[in-house]
Amino acid sequence: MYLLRLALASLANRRFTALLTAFAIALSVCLLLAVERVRTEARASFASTISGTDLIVGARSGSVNLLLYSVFRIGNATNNIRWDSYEHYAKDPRVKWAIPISLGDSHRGYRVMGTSADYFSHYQFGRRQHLALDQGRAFADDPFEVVLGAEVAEALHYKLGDKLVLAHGVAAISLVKHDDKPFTVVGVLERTGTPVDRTLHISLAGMEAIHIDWHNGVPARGAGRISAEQARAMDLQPTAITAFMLGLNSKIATFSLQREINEYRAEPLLAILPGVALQELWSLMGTAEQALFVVSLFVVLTGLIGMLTAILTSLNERRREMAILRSVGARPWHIAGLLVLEALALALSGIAAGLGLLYACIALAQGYVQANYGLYLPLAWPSAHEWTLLAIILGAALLMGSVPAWRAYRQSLADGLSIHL
Amino acid sequence: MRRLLLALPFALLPLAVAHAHDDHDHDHDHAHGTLGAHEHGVAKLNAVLDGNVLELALDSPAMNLVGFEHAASSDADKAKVAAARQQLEQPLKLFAIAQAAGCKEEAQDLESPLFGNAPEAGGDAHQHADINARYQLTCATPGKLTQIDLGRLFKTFPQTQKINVQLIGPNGQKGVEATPAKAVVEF
Repeated sequence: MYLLRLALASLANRRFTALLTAFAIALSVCLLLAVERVRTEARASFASTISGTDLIVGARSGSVNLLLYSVFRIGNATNNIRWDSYEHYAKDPRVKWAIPISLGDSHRGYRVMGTSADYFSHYQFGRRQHLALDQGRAFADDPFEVVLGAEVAEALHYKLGDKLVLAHGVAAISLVKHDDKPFTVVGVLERTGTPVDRTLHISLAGMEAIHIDWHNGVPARGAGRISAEQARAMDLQPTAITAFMLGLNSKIATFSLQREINEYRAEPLLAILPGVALQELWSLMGTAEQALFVVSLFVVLTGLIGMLTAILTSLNERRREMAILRSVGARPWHIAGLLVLEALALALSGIAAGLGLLYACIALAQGYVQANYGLYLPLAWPSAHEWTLLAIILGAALLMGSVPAWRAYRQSLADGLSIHL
Repeated sequence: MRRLLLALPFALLPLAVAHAHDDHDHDHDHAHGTLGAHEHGVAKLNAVLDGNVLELALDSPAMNLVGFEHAASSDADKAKVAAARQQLEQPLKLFAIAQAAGCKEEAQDLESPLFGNAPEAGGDAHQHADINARYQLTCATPGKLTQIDLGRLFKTFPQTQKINVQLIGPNGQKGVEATPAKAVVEF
């Protein structure tokens, strides 16, 4: 105990260097933990984007591609699929529910998705959570109603009853707008932390209606135009959609239905298991994630080597200190213990300060990160994995502290009380 | 110069042809309507556990399991096919399904041109053959069934280097690449 007191007193005597060393360790620890936390949270939020959906079906392309455009709203479909194919499988006795998806339009950089009311009752994310309305209601019979994702409503300041115009295509600035058929905001969804927040949901009929007078990819002019009122009276049954999601009565049927859809003769279709495709996609990004982790490990190593340097360089200045300690009866192992304790104290205070810094940063950045990246960083206690990392850092610091300790041990034996000037 | 450029595709043609022949990855029309992939050394396993029903489906090129893909004619070849078949007929052992789960086999279906029960497509000398095994089991305590160990499968059929596993279990869907070094797949 008196050794520890001595070590602390000695450190206090060199408080500026000691503080800087501890701060370097604190910064590196904070970086390592922040990377770890973002990594695990990104993975968790990634995996919780979709749940409870057994199969996603789209035009035949790649499974990652289909997952990206149907769930993450990234990229575009290579082809559309026929409405008949959707109906064929929606009616299959093994299928419990089916959600059609139609993509391709946007509103100020946010994607628009045409779907059916089943989307609100069957789509699940996270731990089998359902979508919930924060305000208003789901779209009903009128084709020109839109339900906004939480982020869309917040970023663009829309309230219930507002009118908005959708743009053709998915570029942030579109030259072609569906301005003859404005949509009314009837509902805003609760925040989910998934791409749903960044989506505008309209009915398939609405999607059909805004394109009803389009020919060859351009809107009709003059007499060919069909007004919103006329469109309401027309048959707005779509003939093609982009993809559909299926929930099955029994999971056992998943593989056989997947096989059947992939071999469907009427149209080339691709059915994927979203869970498997998610893992495939994550493994693509896994390398970058690993690299980030390795970099932060090296930063910690740098911090610890900084500590080692600081202690080692101080050894020479402290020969007098050691000599005095020896003269009052300290044994060589006391001197060694003193230096190990010093390293321990530096590393411990560095880790504690690093944790403090991490929580301060999380508390400050939490809202911003959630709003901009859809990542929720909880102010939670370190996980078992994080504790292990911290223990390893502490162990490494002790190991490094034993280097100057060993030298001091040898020196104090050799030097004794003689002072070489 | 332009003439040279025009000749380039022809100069490269033999390369492309040679590549096409080397590649064992190309698709073949099997008994089904679409083209299935066929890659030697790689097999596919689909496993789904829902309630107390466990279904397993192993699709593998015959090469991985018996070492050839033609119909067995010699006695040695026939013995190999019979031995492979015998292994495949014991899914509980082959997939090391935990005894505690109390799984019982309900149905089994082994299908392959080599077993003589699937039509051999075409007279192409370059034809590949698959072995498809499907099993349905019921488990008394499915909660005890937490993993499938493919170690024995890799040991019995050493020409299998990789199994692409798709799992559906109580924790959702999962895709895993199993190798002899990492043979245990958890639900």
